[in-house]
Amino acid sequence: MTQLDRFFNGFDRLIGWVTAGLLAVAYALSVFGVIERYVISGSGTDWLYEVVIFVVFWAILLSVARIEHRRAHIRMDSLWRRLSHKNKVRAEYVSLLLGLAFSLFLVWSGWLVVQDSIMWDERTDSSLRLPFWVYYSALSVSLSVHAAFVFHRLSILARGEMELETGDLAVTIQRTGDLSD
Amino acid sequence: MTLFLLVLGFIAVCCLLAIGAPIYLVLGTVAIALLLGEGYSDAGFGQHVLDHLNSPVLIAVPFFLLAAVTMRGGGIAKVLFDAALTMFGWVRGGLAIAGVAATAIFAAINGSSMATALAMGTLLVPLMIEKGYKPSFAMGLTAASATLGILIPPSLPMLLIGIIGEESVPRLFLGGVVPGLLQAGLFMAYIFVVAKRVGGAPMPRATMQEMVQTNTHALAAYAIPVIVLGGIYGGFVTLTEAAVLGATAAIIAVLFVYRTGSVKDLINLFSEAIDRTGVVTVKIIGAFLLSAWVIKSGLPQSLAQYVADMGLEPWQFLTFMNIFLVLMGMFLEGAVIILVVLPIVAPIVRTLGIDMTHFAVVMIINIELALLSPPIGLNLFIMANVTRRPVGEVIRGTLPFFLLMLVLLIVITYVPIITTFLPDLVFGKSS
Repeated sequence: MTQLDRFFNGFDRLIGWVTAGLLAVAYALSVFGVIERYVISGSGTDWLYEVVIFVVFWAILLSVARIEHRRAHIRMDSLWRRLSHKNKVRAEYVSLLLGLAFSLFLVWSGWLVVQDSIMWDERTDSSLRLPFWVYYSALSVSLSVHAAFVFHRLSILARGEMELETGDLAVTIQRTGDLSD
Repeated sequence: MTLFLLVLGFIAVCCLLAIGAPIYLVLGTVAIALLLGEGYSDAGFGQHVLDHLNSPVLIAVPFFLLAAVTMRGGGIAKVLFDAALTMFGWVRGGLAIAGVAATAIFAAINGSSMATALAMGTLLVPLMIEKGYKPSFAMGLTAASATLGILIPPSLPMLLIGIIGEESVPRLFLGGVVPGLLQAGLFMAYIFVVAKRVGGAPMPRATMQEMVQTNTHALAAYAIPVIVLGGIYGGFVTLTEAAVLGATAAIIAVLFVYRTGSVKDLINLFSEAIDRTGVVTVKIIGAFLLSAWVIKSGLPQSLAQYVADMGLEPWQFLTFMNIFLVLMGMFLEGAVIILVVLPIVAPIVRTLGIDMTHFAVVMIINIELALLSPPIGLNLFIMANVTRRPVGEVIRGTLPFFLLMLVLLIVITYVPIITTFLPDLVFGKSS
């Protein structure tokens, strides 16, 4: 394992803690919101749900970036499995380079939205008047991290050290994937 | 020009899928290329994604997943199964019938078919085999019953339909109730008929005291759907808050009532829930970009006009969609089908005057079938993986249930009132 690998593993763990922490905060705030509505009426925290949205949104988008590090994206691999190792490597290069281009393009596009939001001083309706650029910048930040992880994966692939065999589809999805089915 | 771009896009999607590119990338990069070809502004991409991700339904997803991952390994499946066994165990095929009943209730506290398959597969299949059921039947029944996880609310694919199709999620949830109960009832009736052939001898009848005891023990598990669905339909809480309360109830049940988890596990549960939300969200981002192109190209309107000019009746359209979705389900996972198909067909559905809730349920049953369709039916693989038996044996066992679900699909497709009755009763007719 190189210095670079150790750095990105540590970075991934750090983001994991941050996202889990953010979700826990949003969870606690949401529970408080329900208690507040039915038990402590009239305490006037009109910003609660807004903060929950901001926090969950950041947590979700940061977790999007981590998927790349764990190579946990869902893919159709029925044809891919039949490719030779050499072709699998080529296919992986194409996927990673496209992934890099996709991330960088959305970083740029998201940044333009942030700039617009700062220029117009867009803010939320609650008493906190949260600036919208905080919300919008989640896209650019998370996809910057995503691009960094793609870059790291490219370096592993170039060293010939990437584990390409995904093994049993169900096991892979059970371990890393989504539960949306 | 649009047709040319569409053909080009379709070829690109096929090529990228074939080389194993991640789904989000297939949808996202093709959509970006098509949109750039149509002169879409640079900032428009980010704005479109950010605007559409700003959805209360998306905010609810990590909390629904938190409940799902908490319950998956938390012993709740066993508690529900024990309770169902005291009620149904004594009838012919009672163990299997109790399994279906427990799965249906588990589905009502868990929105994922895969999580349901994992929880019920590890519990139900070994027990059924031990009690003399044919292994293929036990695996087939469990794989098929687990699909109830996405039909009976809450349902994660229905959340996706709500996000992509901009439809009321509480209404969609309610639409799945009667079809879900019908599916469970159909399975139970089938088990009763074939019980002797598959080795389903009745179990000893439970005493009243045992029944009361096990059901009292299951109260904490029963309370979860009551809190979530009661909260939403009683108008007490929002969808996100209902998901939060569902997760809270699941955590309390697992940590303090059934004591199958510890406080130390909590951070891992939060971490897993948000990670799995990320996997869903990145695909949604790809789908939003695709939908931006679909809207800009005017494709749905052209298709809707074409369908209207053809004089297609709603039932004819639904028949075509069923064939199309069953075929797609053999090669694509359910969430992908929703993300790719829904942005294109939703306007046609509305043009033809088909209730969106009805269409959503038809789509969900097709996705259930996809979960059982080789070569990539995920429930088949999960069941084979859990039991360490060949996938072919699972497929053989699943076949009768697959056919029953096809019958259900046909009935639901052509008798929409089965789906729309309950949502119309609660929310009024959809406009």
